[in-house]
Amino acid sequence: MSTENDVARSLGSWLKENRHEDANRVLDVVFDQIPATPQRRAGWLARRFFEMNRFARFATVAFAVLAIAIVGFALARGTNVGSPTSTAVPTPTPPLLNTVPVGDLAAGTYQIDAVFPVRLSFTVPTGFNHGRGAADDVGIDYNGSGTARGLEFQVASNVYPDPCHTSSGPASPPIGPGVDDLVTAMTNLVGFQSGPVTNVTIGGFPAKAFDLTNNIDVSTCDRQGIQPLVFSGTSVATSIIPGARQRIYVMNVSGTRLMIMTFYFQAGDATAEAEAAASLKEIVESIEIL
Amino acid sequence: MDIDLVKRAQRGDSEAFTSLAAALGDRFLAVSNRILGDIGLAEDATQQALLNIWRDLPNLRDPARFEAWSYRLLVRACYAEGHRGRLWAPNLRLLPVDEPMAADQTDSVIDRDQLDRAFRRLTLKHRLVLVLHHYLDLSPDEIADALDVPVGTIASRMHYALRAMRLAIDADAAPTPKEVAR
Repeated sequence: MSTENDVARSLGSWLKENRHEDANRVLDVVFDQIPATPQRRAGWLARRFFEMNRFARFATVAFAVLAIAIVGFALARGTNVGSPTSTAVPTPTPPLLNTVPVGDLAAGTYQIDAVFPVRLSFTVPTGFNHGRGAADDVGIDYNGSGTARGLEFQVASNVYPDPCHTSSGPASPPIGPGVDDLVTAMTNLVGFQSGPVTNVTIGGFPAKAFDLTNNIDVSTCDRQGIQPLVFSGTSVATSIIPGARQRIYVMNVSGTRLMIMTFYFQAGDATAEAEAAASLKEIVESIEIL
Repeated sequence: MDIDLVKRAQRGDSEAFTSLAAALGDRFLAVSNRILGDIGLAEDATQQALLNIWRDLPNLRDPARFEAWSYRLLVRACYAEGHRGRLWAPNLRLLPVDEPMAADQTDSVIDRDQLDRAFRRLTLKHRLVLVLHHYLDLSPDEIADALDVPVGTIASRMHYALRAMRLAIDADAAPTPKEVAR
């Protein structure tokens, strides 16, 4: 099995292999087309606007606002000429899919397939993406506008008490199998700050929830990564990104200890961070255990 | 990059642009070939990016930022070609999950075929950040600048791209049920 560092190292060498690309043919075509391709000059309107005096600028803006208002008012009233007034079309209910497909996810409800030990469904808005899941780690991340964020469903067997220095090894003896064992271990990770542990309900199951933050300088870590979790299945390691804000939920689903890790990045903008946190909370609240 | 050449090309000097394009051509083709995984699509993306650079160059306010700006146009061209390519080349990303077991699973060196298969399974956005970082050696800040997205988004994409590759490689190396039974 490989680690992400192995992949990064091999990937760099592989990408830098000489593949003998020669752009001469492309350049010939481009140079042939240049005489017939006019350049776009910077917009005259913007320059002229700032060259106007204050009154002329005010008059221009006022005229534009008035024109938009008139057009908007006319559209809002509707003309009732030629065609019936349009009616709103209800958005179809998203289908419940059998699996989480790879790639960009349309807004809707998805079910994690049988590879993962806990069968559950969750609902995502637009902008999320899914790579490939494993038997103990399935995640989605957000590619839309706004603060980067993601959510992972994980079944971990142990932790690295110092996730930045994994060469010191996983917890020994390993943590116990209970929800509280994992919560205690996660809230005591070296280099992380944890918030209070609260009781919540997810999909009808009791769960523990808490926040984690870290300001670890990843360049000081053993493997240039922060890896708190140990998996017993196919996933070797999962990395936490420095500076990420995590909200973690741990619950017992019919004997399987499920951890749901949501995270977003500090955007330096309280509104954007609140929006990211709220959208992740909404996904968690949509979870149904099947 | 020679700023004087950029300024001359901005003023419509086609000879100056020819020099710029010649300096960029091979690198653009190499980058787009790695992102798109298809030399034909890569040539189209490179051609379109260079023509767009010529066309929009007068609107570049700071000639010193030419390089980052030119990568942004190349990336857009790759997106356009990638989506066009998907219509007729769906196998670009959809490869079978159950491949034969690798010769030696304990070997930490991942072979080229595994890398190629795993890389092709990534989304265009994920391939893009990996190529810009691991091939062009751009930092996350430089990639964020070139793509005009927050640096956190780049960090997230790089994290997920590497994770997706690792999962694909591990799945590739896992024995198929038939092999386990043997």
